[in-house]
Amino acid sequence: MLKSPIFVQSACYCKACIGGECGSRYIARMEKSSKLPRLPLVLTANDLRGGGVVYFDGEAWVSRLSDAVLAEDEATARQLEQVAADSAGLVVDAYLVSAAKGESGEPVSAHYREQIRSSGPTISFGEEA
Amino acid sequence: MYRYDEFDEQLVRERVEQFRGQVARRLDGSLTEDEFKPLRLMNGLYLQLHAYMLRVAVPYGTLNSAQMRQLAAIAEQYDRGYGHFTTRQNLQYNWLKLVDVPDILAMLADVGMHAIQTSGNCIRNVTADHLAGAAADEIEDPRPTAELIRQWSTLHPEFEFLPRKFKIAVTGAEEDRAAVNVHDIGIRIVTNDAGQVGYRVIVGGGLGRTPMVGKTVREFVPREDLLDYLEAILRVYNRHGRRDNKYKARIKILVHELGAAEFTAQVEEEFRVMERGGPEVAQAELTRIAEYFAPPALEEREEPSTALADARKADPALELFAQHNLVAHKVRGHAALIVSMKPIGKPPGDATADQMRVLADLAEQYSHDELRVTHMQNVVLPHVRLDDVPAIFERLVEAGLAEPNAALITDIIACPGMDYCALATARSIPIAQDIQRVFADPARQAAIGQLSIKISGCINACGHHHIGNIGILGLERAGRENYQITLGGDPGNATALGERLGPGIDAEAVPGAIEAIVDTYLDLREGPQEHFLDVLKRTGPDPFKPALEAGQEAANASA
Repeated sequence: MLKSPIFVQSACYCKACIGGECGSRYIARMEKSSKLPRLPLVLTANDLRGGGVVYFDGEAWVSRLSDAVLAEDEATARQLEQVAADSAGLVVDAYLVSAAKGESGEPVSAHYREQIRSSGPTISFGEEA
Repeated sequence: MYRYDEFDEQLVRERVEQFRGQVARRLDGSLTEDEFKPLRLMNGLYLQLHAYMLRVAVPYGTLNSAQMRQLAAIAEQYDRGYGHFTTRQNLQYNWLKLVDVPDILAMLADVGMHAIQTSGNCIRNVTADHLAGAAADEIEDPRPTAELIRQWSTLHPEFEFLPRKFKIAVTGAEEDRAAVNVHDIGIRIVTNDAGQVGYRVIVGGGLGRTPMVGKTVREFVPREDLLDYLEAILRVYNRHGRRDNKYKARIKILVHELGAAEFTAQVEEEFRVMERGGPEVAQAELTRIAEYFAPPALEEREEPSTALADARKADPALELFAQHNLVAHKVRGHAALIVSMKPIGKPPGDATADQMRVLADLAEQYSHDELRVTHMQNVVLPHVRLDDVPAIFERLVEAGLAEPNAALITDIIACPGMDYCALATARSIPIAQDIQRVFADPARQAAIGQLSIKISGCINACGHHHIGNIGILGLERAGRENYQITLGGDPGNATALGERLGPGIDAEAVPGAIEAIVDTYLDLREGPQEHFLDVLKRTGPDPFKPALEAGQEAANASA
């Protein structure tokens, strides 16, 4: 399960009390939300200041995919979706993306694009090339 | 030598400070990403897979040594020690931090450079023949015309929010080295029957997801009417362009949907009724601008050069280099020297900071302080003495930049692909490297002769795959990279778009398939003088089709 206090602090999006604390916030949000990518999934983005690839680890944005929260159920995924909406001041182009479960339960890439995003170009470059 | 004038100087400086403020407001939350994104794109700043990417404008590919050294300094100070020359004669940095970009733009401004018009739905920076002012087959240097268009289009309020991006290319030579037929507007400098110099205007070409060859809308536009005529074209486009659909918003779709005749009629009508700037204005401007492109004072010298001939005899490597990397110059005893940025197995178009400094030194010492970036992702020393070629070659060897492959099969254009690009659907660079390794032997390349391979990592076609003699398009199929091969593309005077050879193949199969295509060509050709495209025209694609399967078999065998 997620450990982030961010989820608890998120504003409500239901029609009754926009920005309030009626307690129905995720239900209201989930009903309105679009289709999720295939589970399990992680939340990823690029860091606003530096541009680097980042993942949400439950409390903060970190650079390693293996440290990311792996959402295996829809409720957790919707929470991550809310984090994305609340993080516009920290990151750019946040999105949920399908991942796989590694040997120790950690998230690993499920697609070659995400593999390249998480580990960098597959070629040598600069002085090394 | 080209330089910005005082208006540009002020404009660029002001833009740097504006952007500094915009970045600060984005970071403190005053601007949302939706508000900030168009502002950063107006300054050439993209967000790619791993970091921010800055596309720096290199007008007409022309650089002096001080500018090249500054590009090297930025690469070292703010990037990872290298930059990437693009297919639009620009330079891209791949690893920037947003917070550094205002300082980087200020460093560029110090040497008269910027990133304006390298992105967004505006008239992009104009490109021109990379051998402008040097080529033996030139009617006129295209750069004063290109610069006139650039000055007219920079921050032109009517054209800041076009339906889509808009690219213009100009050539003044008999051989089209600027791919004018696949631009939104292509301009050829021509002479009419009365001997007057003017412009043939071609509209509606382009690559991308809907490749099209441009249509000539006017065979001859008099010199003084050019900007008004372009304005008429842009107005028709601005009025009718498909703003409702990004994929149908380029002018090529409008020309196609209206038909060339109707489009031309509308442009001519707009041109007839519009308020005109007057011929005196345009001619005075062109004369003023042409002074910035005054050719260097080159004295005619001995040709062929005895010194070069002797050195070629003594050094087979130099002989090979001179055969392929020298282009005839309009002034006797000189050449334009192509420095291939495609050493075997290296990312095409990349240059380290050290290599940039070597190029700057060579330009300063041997080429009247001038360099050119080509749309082939190479760098040209445009005005070198034939006598100096051996000394230049020696320095290039030391810098790892003496690959004798200009216009040969390993001189591959490749977009950054999925190793860097957020839009890519597959990788391009490793494919280019694998193909280069297959054909690494210089003797084998020379035997094959001129043959272009162009690779794009997505349908947007930054790698110009449609106009490669052999084109490669990287897509995704069922979660794997998959590559479509096209044959028959031609970027030159007889512009042609390649046609797909068959179903897509795996990455591992590509080098073997290309090798089989080339072997088929060598078997079929009636002699070294028969180019790949001529054979293809003669035989059709059928003899080449088994190559796709052969590539897959070769990949299976080595797996």
